[in-house]
Amino acid sequence: MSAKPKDVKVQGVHVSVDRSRCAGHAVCLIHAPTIFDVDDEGYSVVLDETPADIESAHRAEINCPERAIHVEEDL
Amino acid sequence: MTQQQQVDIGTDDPEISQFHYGRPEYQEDANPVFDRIRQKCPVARSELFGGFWMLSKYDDVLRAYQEPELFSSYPNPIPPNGIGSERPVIPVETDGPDHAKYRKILQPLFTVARLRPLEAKVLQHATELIDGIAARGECEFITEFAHVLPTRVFLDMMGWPIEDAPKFLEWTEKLMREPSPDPEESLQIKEETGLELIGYFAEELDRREELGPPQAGDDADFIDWLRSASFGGERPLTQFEILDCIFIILLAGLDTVQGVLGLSIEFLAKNPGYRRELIEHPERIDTAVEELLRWFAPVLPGRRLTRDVEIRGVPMKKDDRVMLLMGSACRDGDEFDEPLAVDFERSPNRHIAFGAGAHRCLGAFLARAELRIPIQEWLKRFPDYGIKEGTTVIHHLSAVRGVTEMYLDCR
Amino acid sequence: MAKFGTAEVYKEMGDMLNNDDEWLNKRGTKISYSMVYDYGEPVDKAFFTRFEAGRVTEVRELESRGNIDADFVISGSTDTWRGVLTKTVDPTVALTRGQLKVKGKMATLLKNMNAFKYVIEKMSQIPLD
Repeated sequence: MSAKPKDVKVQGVHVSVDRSRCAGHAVCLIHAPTIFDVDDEGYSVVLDETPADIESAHRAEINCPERAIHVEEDL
Repeated sequence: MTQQQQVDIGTDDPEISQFHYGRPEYQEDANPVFDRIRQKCPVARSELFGGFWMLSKYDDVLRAYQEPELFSSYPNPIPPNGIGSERPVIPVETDGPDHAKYRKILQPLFTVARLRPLEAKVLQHATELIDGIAARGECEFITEFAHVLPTRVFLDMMGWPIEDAPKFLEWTEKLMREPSPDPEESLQIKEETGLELIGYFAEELDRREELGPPQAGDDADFIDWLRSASFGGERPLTQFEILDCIFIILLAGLDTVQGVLGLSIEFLAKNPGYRRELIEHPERIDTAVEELLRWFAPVLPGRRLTRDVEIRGVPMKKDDRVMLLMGSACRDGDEFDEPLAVDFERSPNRHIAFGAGAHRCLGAFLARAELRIPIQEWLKRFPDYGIKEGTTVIHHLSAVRGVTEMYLDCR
Repeated sequence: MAKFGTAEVYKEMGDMLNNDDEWLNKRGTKISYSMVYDYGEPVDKAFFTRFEAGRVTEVRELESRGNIDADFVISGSTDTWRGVLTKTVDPTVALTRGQLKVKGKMATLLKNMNAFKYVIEKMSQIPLD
């Protein structure tokens, strides 16, 4: 395991969408358009499960009205 | 014997026990009464129209959206509004598996991918309307912009001629406002207007039937998509169901967009600091639109309880009607930090202006485009606009909040 | 009295409407169409009716259910029709949900919806054998 640089807070994150909760608001697209997309039926899909832009992933998570997005931190 | 603590539902408070969104005293600004009801009686009861509960807390309203088995959408409006009160309006007033089947047909029509081409149309219409206003140097914003834009976009969505826009503007104006001071006459005019409107849709359906079978698949336009759709794999949609869907798609996106757009442009007219912020930071437009949606959450939907339930210590009975005070829930300090401050960078902003759960507004993506693009273009063209001197902006609350009339100076 | 699944029902409907002043002078004046009531198995029959300014001028059983030429054809299963005629099935709901299928100009049907509903209402008042 390589040494962690001091200014990186977490190693990485794993992003997922609970499809049973997703109601297709697409707010995640507003905050993290490179991480999420909306499929043909209107539900959120994760384009990049381990994104580098952790801040955007978190913003998408906290703004989902259905609380359907989970950003798990790899420590 | 202990005295039972009774929760205050506003019985002795006439402002609460006689509340309804149609009352003249709340048309101008409902926020004070919303805030008061939410703070005093988070679960309140109005005795009008046979009695209905009012939920003001974000958690309770979110729950109502996320538990449709408990909070049925039929009937929705309190009281009935003359549009399809005999049977559930499809799909808004349907529940359960039926609702899911209608939704499965409609949702693909409103995905981001399918709606992106419409964004170009929104820009085109916004530009055209703004050009006209720029030439005059002033406008009445509702009749010259906020009502026109979503109406034209609807016609584009259906592939219908823009020349029919004036007809639609007239019909929808009657359906959205009170066409007569006499409530019974108003209802009658609305019913007649509804019939005329559906008649237009029906003629279009008949015309398509005569042309031949529908085209299916991704290239199918709106109507053909509905004509070739399958209801849960069991059967095609009936013409009645197709007409209901088209009707709702028109109405659902009209006075809602018109309302929030009008209120947003008024807000930016009267708050130059926020206007400057958007001009200097155009990248904030998306979160700004979300904040404007939270601030002006326009809809006050109704629900019906499917069984007895207790909410915040208040016992409610099966078949009781419930009004979701969404505009109030979006100001709830238990969910939003500093709820009474407008913050164009607010995050988290889990506003529920588009509802939530199974009945989440189908047109949310389009609505956001119909707010974002006009606001951007407006500010580009009229960075120093203002309310026309000597005029007052007139608001309405009713079932969907908005601006009735607003004269702007646009030089 | 009329035997369910026969033209008798529609003949009686015709008699009722032709003696109904409110229908002839007010509600039915715009109704000039041919309307076929089509029954699935086991009745497996179709009944032709013609309205002229509200007056029912023709009622007969069609020879076959195929290739029906009329302004409107309403099709339903035997069970659905029995339900409508005995008021255990709501015709509006049946129409919306496709248990009763309508062929014909929707625009005309909708404009005259109240009149069509009046006719179905009268039909359901006929005592069945």
